[in-house]
Amino acid sequence: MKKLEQRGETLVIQLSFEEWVVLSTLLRYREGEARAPGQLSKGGLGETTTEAQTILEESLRKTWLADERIARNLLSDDSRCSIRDTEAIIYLVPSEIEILLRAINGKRMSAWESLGRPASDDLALPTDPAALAATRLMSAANAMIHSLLKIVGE
Amino acid sequence: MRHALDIPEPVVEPVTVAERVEDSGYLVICWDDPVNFMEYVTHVFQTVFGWDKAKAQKHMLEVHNQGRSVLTREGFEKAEFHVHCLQQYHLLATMERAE
Repeated sequence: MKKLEQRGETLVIQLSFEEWVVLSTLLRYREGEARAPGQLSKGGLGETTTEAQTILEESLRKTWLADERIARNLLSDDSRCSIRDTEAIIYLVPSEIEILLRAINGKRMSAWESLGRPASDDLALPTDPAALAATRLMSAANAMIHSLLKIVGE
Repeated sequence: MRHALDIPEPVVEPVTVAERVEDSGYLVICWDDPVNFMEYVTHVFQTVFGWDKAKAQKHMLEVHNQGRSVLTREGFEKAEFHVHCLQQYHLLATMERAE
């Protein structure tokens, strides 16, 4: 994945066909739901009721689902993503890159949840097929996030 | 024929010191977690708060090394907004009243 050029606010990003397949597949991963890495309660406010917690989680869940939907649509929109034999070219403005980053990170979180929230350096390859798939998915998401952050930082 | 309306002059209440403290009396805190990348957290701080990379990295390292970092001190609504923004990026953020 690399930035080809910038046209005004729009970044023109090139992905290999394999990267496009991985990214498209990643965004369709459905194992569990993304959650924040811990309790969402706002400590110190004295109002961390179960109801408030539920409302907060529901609000975040809707945002994350919207991010996923938008990200998937961007990759399947012919006017935003052109797929050729060996590559894909995608046109994204900064706010869409943020959505893509959040959506991919959400998939990392889902996979991490399904693996039982292991420590970050404790990702030895499991033998269980489901756990193996989640580990591979995390690896793919890691690579995508690093590539996107590199492009944003250029 | 139009008549001039008798509109009273608006009264501007002076803002007290206590009100100003109240208005910026909440801390936005980000907590360490075992899953988000350091560079991802740095990027989120830059995006959400508009900070330069050096400032964002300083706070990211505080989170990483000390377990938490106080990111800003703001009024209730702004602090709540920023906590929500950070949580949208899957960061563990909370707000609490400043001492």
